[in-house]
Order: sequence, then structure tokens, then C-alpha cells
Amino acid sequence: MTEKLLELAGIGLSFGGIRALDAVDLNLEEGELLAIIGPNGAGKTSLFNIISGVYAPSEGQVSFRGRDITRADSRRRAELGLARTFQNLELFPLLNVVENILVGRHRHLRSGVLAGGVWFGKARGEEIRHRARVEEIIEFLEIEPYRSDAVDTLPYGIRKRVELGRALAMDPTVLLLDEPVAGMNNEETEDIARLILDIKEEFGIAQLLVEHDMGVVMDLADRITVLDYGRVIATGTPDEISHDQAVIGAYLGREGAEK
Amino acid sequence: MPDRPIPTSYAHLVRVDDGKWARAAWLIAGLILIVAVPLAMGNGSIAPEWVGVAIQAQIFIVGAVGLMLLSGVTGQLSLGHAAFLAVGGFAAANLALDFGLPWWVVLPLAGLISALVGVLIAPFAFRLKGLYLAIVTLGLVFVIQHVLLRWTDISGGHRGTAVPMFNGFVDDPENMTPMEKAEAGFGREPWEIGGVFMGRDVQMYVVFLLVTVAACLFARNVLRTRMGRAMAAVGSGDIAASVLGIRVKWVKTAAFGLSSFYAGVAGAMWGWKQTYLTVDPPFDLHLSMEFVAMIFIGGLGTVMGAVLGAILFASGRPLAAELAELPFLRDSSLQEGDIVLFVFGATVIVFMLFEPRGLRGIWSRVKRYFTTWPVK
Ligand SMILES: Nc1ncnc2c1ncn2[C@@H]1O[C@H](COP(=O)(O)OP(=O)(O)OP(=O)(O)O)[C@@H](O)[C@H]1O
Ligand SMILES: [Mg+2]
Repeated sequence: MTEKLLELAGIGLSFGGIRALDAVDLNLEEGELLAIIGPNGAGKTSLFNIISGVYAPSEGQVSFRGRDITRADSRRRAELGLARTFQNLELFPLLNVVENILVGRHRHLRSGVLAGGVWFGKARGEEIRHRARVEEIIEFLEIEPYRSDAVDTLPYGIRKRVELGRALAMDPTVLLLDEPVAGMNNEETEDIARLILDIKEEFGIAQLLVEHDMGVVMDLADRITVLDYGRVIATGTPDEISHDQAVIGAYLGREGAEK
Repeated sequence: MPDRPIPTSYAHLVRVDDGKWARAAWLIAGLILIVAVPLAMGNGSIAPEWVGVAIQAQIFIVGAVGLMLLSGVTGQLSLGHAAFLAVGGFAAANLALDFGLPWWVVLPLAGLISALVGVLIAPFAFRLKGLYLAIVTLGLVFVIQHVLLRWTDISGGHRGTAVPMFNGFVDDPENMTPMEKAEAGFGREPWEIGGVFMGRDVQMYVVFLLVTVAACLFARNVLRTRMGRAMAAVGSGDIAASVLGIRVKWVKTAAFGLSSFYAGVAGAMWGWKQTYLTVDPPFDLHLSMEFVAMIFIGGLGTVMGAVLGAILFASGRPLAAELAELPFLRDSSLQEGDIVLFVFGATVIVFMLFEPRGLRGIWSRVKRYFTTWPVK
């Protein structure tokens, strides 16, 4: 058996009485795009929080390339090549677009307070080199006109791209995207979908994609995992999932109950 | 579509200024501040009282830039800034009195000693957020006051201590006569340029101007490089920052260290300005609050904001004092201090309501007006 890039085994997470996740198994292969779907409150974001080290699971194990990282903190996981975006944007309002993306380069830069404050020498050279990388990302995301803008003046869709750019700037091995097209119109959704595909095919970055837009999920995903009430109820190719009785039941049942 | 030419090199993108006109404007402003202003001070066109205000403004700028880095950028609200100024001020006094060190050696050392205290306080910020951290740092002011007052060898107790500012290394400073001390002190010999004589205060203004500019440039550079961005990231939340690979604890520690370094330097400058320091006044909670107000009014998160806020506070006090001379206020039972407080309080409220981005917000609007002129 080949070594899995990312593997979750028996993950459980409780908030007081709420069982947010229960015995979740999941694995992601190199270069794969795995979508995670499920109704609101199914535990998708909680799962991301566990993978990125924001929450510690109550039980279970997270491993990265065969190494147990269950106890590693977020920073360590970033160092290993895990990057993510947030469902509710987490951009840094004091920084402009370029600077926000440069934060993604943090782990590739070296200068400290002293070298930075002096500027000439180490820091300047480093800034110029990494600025070049950031410009590539800006070009890739087609947000050139916004590069020096304050992030809180940007339209929502552009902010989402900037956050994606910040995660890409980490040069990650695994990218976790939490609802990247939520709140976007059709055209914006198509643009982002194309970018996600490029990230997979051109850069070879493995991705976990949480998304409610089923069109996007069906088009992009290699495999889909369905969560419901914190449990995995199905995993398979888009074709298998769209014919899975348990999945249809979970979605229809929930929608039926809401009406 | 890109709205500007495709860059062929990224060197120009990382520059601070906005092109050659901005650079010319800064150059002219710099020449006025370092040549014209001292000459005007020397020949009396600028009244001695305003020389004092200018020096106070420089001290406030260094202190406010320090607090801006910690509270404005890194988001760690500190009410303890006055404590770090006190550490720097009394460190400066003792480094000169005990070891006979010249001011240019004392200045960085006072900063470093204060930075050390800052680094020791930083772990409180690992767990405590917002107002809880503010309360702990508030407590720090009282702890430092208490320690200093008890440690009379360092502070001279309630009587206070002289803060000599030696030009060069001095042997055996403890057995010097007051006369000898004065001889070795800064500003003893007047400077003469083109028939204009410049005494101690004017010289101090010039030296402090260099210190202030260096402090601002250093902060500006920190902010546009790796650690400054990490500080801004931590300022908007630990989680997003650490997911991006930032060592949050280390960044907070660095921010506390850097901020209290600035405060320590400002404290030393304060001691030299006064030549004599007591613990309280000036290093009390009220001073801490003034620094917080400066960075608020100036606009959180930018060096320019801190500078503008500091200048406003330094010049606001004498302006408010003149206000107190107005007939209807003079006859009222209000003390001058009350009026000063009232004016500052009202200013903070007005800014919170109408210009949350502070003086810095107004500044950038003015700048935009001129850079886009005559378009709008
Ligand atoms: N920090 C928290 N404290 C308490 N309960 C939480 C917390 N985070 C999530 N939960 C609960 O855990 C469950 C799963 O939430 P989660 O955010 O993971 O769902 P989700 O699948 O991402 O939903 P959505 O599609 O709405 O984003 C929900 O019942 C939620 O209320
Ligand atoms: Mg969610």
C-alpha cells in the first residue's frame, strides 16, 4: 500500500454535549482533489479545524505522510505544507493585498525584527525575491488591479481570491478550501472553479474542498466524502455518490424536514 | 487587465516613498526640521517654551511609535507603557551615575533594559486578551512604581535622582563634584553657525530629531518586512496567524520587546530633558493613558498615525493652557489640568465618532487629493 498524504483515523470531536464529529476516517492521496459535502452543521469546518490544528480531536489520529501529527500545533503543520482558507474570510485588515499574500510567504522568509528594521541587506533582498513570487500568484488569480488596495475595500469575490492567494503563497502540499465559491455569482464561481482545477493540474497540489455548490463539486472532485451529523455516510466517485441511497436520504430527509 | 505597466524588476515595488515628488517633499521637510528650525530656535524666533514643546513631542513620538507597534499593530492593548518609560529613565540615570557612560551608549542600553522587562511581561499576553491584558499591564505600572520607590539606590526614592547626560566616558562619576559633572555634560559648549548660538535645548532638539527619525524609519521598515506583517497578522487573531505558520508567542514576545525598547529610549530622553527624574509624576497610569490616546487619535497601526498623535499631544498641552486663559474659563473654578483633560477627552470622542482612522485618515485623504490632482 502506498503511503497516504493525509490520513484521518477514528476522529471524534465533542463540544459539551454536541458530537460534532464521530469516528471519521478519511484519506487524501498526492495530487488528489477530495470534496467534503454535507448539510449545514454536519461538521465540515470542524474537520478542517482538526486537520489544521485549530482544534484537538477528542479521539483519533491525524497523520501526514505516515507521520502522526495529532499533537502538532498549527504552525508546525503549516511548516509541513498544510494551508487553508476560512469559511468566514480571515484577511488582515492592516495589510494591503500584496502584504496579505506575503504573509503566506512567512515560513519561506528568514529576516527578524533587527534585519527588517535595518532594511538594507538581508531583508531587502528577501523582500524583492518573494515579491516576485507574490506577483506570479497575483497574476495567476487575475487580481493585478487590486494589488495595493486595502483588503476591506475589496468586493467579496476578490477578497476570497486574496485569501486563496495567501494560502497558495505558502507553496503548500495540501490545500484546504472552506466554501471557496459561497456567495458568488455564476461567472465568479466558474472563474474560481477553473483556478481550483489549475491548482490541481498545474501545481499538483492536493486539495480538500468543502463546498455546497454541487455543480462545482461534481465537476472538480476526484472523490467525494459525505458527512452527516458528524459521521461519514459515504465516500466515492462523484458518479457513485450521486446514486448513493444514504446520501440521497440524508439530503432529501433534511430538506423535507425543513419544509 | 493590469492598470499599470508590467514590472520588469520588483525593486521599485518595495520602495517606501511614492515617487520623486514625495521624496522631494520629504527632503525639504527634513532640511527645514534640521537646519531652519534649529537656527530659528537659536536666534529666538521660536520661543524657548516651544523648543521644550518640540523636545517633548520627540519623546512622545518615540514612545507612541513603540506603543503603536504593540497595541496598534500586534493588537496587544497595553496600559503599562509608562512603566517601561520609567525603567528606561532610571536605567539612564544609573548607567551614567554609576558607570560614567556617555549618552550615546546609555540610549541603546536604556532601551535594552526596558526591552528585557517587556520580554518578561510578554508571556501574560500568551493567554490573556483584550481588556484582561490591559488590566495586567495596568498593574505593571503600580508594580514598577512600587519597586522603584522602594529601591532608593536606583531611584532616589520620593526625592528622585539626577539624570546626567555625559558627552564622553567619565572616570569615577561617583566622586565628581557637581561642577565637574556639569563640565562633562551635554550641551555645555554652545554651537555657533553663522553668528547664531545654539544652547543645550537646541542641541538636544537636533540630537533627538536624529533619534526620532531613526526610530520612525526602523519601525516603518519592521512593518514592511516579515516580522511586521506577522505582527499585523497576530493583531487580527491568533488562529489565522498560526495557520499561516507564524509563531504567535514569539511574535508577541518580539512586539513586547520592541515596544518597550522604544519606551525605554523615550524614558531616557525624558530624563535628559528634565535633568532630574522622580517616579511619580510623570510615570503613572495617566501617562500610559495618554500614550493610548495618542495612537488612537493618530490612527491605529501606522507610524505616521503615532507621529501625528504624539505631536498633537505635545502641542495640545500648551495650547490648552492658553485656552485656560480665556476670560470665561479663567474665572471658572476649573483647573488648567481639568481643561487639558477635557479637551483631550473630547478630541478622542470626536475622532471615534467622525474619523475612526484618526489623523492618519485625514492625512491619507490629503495625500490622495494631491496625488490625483487635478482629477478631483
Ligand atoms: N467552537 C464551537 N463551539 C461549540 N460548538 C461548535 C463549535 N464549532 C462548531 N460547533 C458545532 O459543531 C457542529 C458542526 O459545525 P461545523 O461548523 O463544523 O459545521 P459545517 O459542516 O461546517 O456547517 P456549514 O455548512 O454551516 O459551514 C455544529 O453543530 C456546530 O454548532
Ligand atoms: Mg462550515
